Amino acid sequence: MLIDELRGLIRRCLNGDQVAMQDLVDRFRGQVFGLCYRMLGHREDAEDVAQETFVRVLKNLHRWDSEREFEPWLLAIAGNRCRTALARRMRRPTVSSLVEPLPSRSPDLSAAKQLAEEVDLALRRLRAEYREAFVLFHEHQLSYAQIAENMDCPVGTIRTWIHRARRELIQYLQAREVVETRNAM
Amino acid sequence: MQCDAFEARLQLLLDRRQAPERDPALLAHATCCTECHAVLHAQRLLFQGLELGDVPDPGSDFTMCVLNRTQVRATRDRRLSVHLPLALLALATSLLLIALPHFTHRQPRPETPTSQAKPDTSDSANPQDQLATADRTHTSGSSSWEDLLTLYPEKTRRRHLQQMDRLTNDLRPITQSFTTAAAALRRTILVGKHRRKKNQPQAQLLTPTRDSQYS
Repeated sequence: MLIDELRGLIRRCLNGDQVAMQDLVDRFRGQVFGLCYRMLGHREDAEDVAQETFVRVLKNLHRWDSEREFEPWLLAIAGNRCRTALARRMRRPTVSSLVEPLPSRSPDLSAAKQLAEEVDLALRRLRAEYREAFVLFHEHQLSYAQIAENMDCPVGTIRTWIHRARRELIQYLQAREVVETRNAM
Repeated sequence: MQCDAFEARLQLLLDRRQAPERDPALLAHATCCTECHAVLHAQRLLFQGLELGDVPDPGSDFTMCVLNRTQVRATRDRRLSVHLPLALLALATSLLLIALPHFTHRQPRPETPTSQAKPDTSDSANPQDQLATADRTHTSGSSSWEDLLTLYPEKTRRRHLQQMDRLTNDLRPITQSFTTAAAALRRTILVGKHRRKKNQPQAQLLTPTRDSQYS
């Protein structure tokens, strides 16, 4: 979507146009839900947090600086909501969050799906900050400066977090013998 | 190339979102060093896994849920924006009514010749006179309101005092009821706080016993 088109859409949202609001949510729901799902690792929680993100975005749309990009601002709000949800989960852990999900190692499962599950599990084991920075950089293609602004941290810290995230993910995959499994195939 | 340099170079390439295969020196080291080869391979698998990992779609009613929640939130905010100022206004009025008697001017009544002549014997004193004496004693000190008014010219000050006295008299029934209610509330809370001691007897019934009736 072109930036002018997006600005027009947001202007219509600010005027209370319901159709424009619907278009805006439809346009960005995949990205927001993707980040929430990666951060929370739980479909229902991710859906709830993604909805909450859009509610806040639509409420505070007038605060968005039209000179800047919309997507990083949106993902920053989503990241904040995810961190709040994670903190809430830490305070009141549910049974589903205490039980660590294990990737199924059944032989009929394709190798690709198995690898994806292992990577997903490895991501869940990362610290929340590392995970958010890693996902924003590698999945949402945000720059270090944009992530730093979103997460309110220096750029150097973000770089360190992403490096550590990569290292820890590799260590985890090696510890799970995913690498050897692939080599053997 | 050392292993440390390999690690730094690999991170640098990934920071630029470039594939490690684009660096021949990196590949050359990976072929010699088993550990670095494993790291490079794991790195490749990690990004493959990320691409393969499919994030499920949010539900079909996702957008409608968002719009419904937005409307509910807007209605709640609108309702709050109407009710909150009203509640604050009511609270401020109540506080003003409670605090007003402390800030009003209470001019000490001039001593009448009869009251001066009359000896102050508590046994024979009229209850109304006792009340007046108590009121004079209570209001003899100057209030902060009075201090403030001394800054004004005499004429203005007198006019203000008259107006304030009139307002106080008009509001007195309300303030008194508020003060009474507050005092009752305070008494109730204080009574509630005091626990009965272990050996302290409970309040006895006041019905006369048979003995006391005939003694």
